[in-house]
Amino acid sequence: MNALTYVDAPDQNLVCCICRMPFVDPCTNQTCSHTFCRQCIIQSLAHSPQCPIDRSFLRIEDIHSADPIIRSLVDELVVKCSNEPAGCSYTCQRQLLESHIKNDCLYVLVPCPAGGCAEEVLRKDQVGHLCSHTSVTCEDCETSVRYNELEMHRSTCLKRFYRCEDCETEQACSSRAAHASCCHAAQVRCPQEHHGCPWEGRRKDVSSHTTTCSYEAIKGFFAIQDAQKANLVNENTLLKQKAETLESQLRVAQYELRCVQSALGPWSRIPTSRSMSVLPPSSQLPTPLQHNRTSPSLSYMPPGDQASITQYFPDISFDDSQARSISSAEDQRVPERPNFPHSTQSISSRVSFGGASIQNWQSTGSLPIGSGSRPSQNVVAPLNLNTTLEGSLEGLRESIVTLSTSLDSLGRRSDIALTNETLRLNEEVTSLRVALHGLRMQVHTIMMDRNAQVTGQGPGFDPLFIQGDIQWLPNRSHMQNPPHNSITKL
Amino acid sequence: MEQVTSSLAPPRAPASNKSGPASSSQSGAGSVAKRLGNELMTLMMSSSPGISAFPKTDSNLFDWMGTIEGASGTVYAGLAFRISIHFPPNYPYVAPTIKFETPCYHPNVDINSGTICLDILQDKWSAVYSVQTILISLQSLLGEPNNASPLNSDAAAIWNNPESFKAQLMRHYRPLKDDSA
Repeated sequence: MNALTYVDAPDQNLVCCICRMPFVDPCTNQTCSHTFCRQCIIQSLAHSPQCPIDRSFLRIEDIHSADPIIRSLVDELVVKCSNEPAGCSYTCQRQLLESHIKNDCLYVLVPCPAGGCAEEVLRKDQVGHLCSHTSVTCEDCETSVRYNELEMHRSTCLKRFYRCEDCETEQACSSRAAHASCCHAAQVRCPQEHHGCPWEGRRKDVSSHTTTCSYEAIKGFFAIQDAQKANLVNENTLLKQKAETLESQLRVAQYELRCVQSALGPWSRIPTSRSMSVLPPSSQLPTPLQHNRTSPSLSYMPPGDQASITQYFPDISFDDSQARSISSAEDQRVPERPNFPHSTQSISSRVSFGGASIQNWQSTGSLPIGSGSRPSQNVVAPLNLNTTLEGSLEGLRESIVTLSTSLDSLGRRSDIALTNETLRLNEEVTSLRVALHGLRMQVHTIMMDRNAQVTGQGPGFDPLFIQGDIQWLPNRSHMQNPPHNSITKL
Repeated sequence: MEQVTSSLAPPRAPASNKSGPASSSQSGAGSVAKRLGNELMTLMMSSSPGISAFPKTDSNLFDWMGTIEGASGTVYAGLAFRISIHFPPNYPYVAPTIKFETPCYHPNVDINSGTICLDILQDKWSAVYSVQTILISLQSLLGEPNNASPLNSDAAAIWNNPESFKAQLMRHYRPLKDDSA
């Protein structure tokens, strides 16, 4: 009752200070004359035995019902029905609410009027409403069924009939599905409809139609065809999957091939037919490789690539026939190379110039020894692009080994030649020194003679004569030099 | 009251009689919620300066968050303090639990836990008190502490020296963040 909703804001003098609502069953203390709801003050006294307002001592015996005038004031307050949330919009004086709920309110739960039902329904649903507990009578079989089970009963009721639209006979509702599948007058289509027969007619005519139906005549053929078609479809699916797998593998292989080609550079080419046989059986697929397989001698590279290779090795004339001849006969190779910088011709021409540089001396010195060992003068192997990359690398490696041994022997020969030459020069210098000494003795003798003559003639000294004598001296030495030259030229 | 309810109830089937005690406890919780809603309405309609309180969430009326501003003319003037209010299920017969959430340097307030030493919140509680009366009492307690029974004895010792008290107060004070309580 303290949960009631009041239509108007209640007078504050009629409000309990504990629950803050208008008094319900108001009580007044005899000791301090404060008024509370009975329930409120009883609960408060259970916590502390004093008046909540003035804290004066208070016992439950001191509480008495309030004046009738207070009770009337609160009982006549207008309240809304407590079933307002359910939908009742009734308002009345608080004292009349009890009878409204008890007798009139449509939104209270009352026992279901149907016999034997323990559930409760709202009073407004009680009259004229077929609740799920109400029994109704089936108009066909006249049995009593529950209201909510009536629909289900009607579809299975044995005494309920319907009229078949095809054969125009009365049939039981319970066997509707069974009758529809066997009704003689029902419209059906030819059993070979899915093979293309357009016939449509009543079920009783089907047997007469099948005797004339051309589709029915070749029924066995259709069965075989259907089976074969199913097989082919399956096979096709399998083949499609296989082809997809192979295509993906091919893409991977192509990608790998491109990687290998870029790594190989100019050596990337189609292998010969002999090495092609090493390839796995999967190469039966139509790959780009097979186009070149018929002409193994054809280079896989376009012509532009060959030109770029010659740029790498400018000293080597890239000619197939020449390269083949070089690889076949080593002795023939040397004369054919005009660019070879250390050929015998160039050395002999340099000697004829008679240059004074040390390098020329070394080259001329090496000539008599080097000319006797021509096979050791190996050069860089020509890059034969007709062989495999391995073969080329092998050839280059051999060339490097040969070159290193040649360089080694050349160094040793140069050392020997230098030592020989130095010894010879030492001898020559010694002989020159001896000759010069003899000359100096001769000059000294002549000068002594001259001096004797001059001193014999007088103390005067002719400087001009001496000067001419000095000028003459180199000529004398020049006269004696030819022997040295002849030695030098030896 | 129970008699009134039973007399108002329509005749019920025997099976539903079990729900009698449960419905009475529900109506008790409902009456507490009704009173709390009534108090909230009263607090919002009244114009009490410097005090406010609201439920923390719309779903739970039993946990509130309030704000008290210090009265002018006291050392707490211009300062605002947040308090938490928790109502027991048997409110208003039992006092609510009230704590300072903002650190409050005061002789009757524990600086760490925020517990308040106030007689009307303990043995002097009465069912006629409301949130509004509690907040007003707390506001006046800020300016007029009961130094006879201090919870914070340091604060009680320097209460008579307003300058040093103000310094200590401001050292502990943290301004409220501007969010709705």
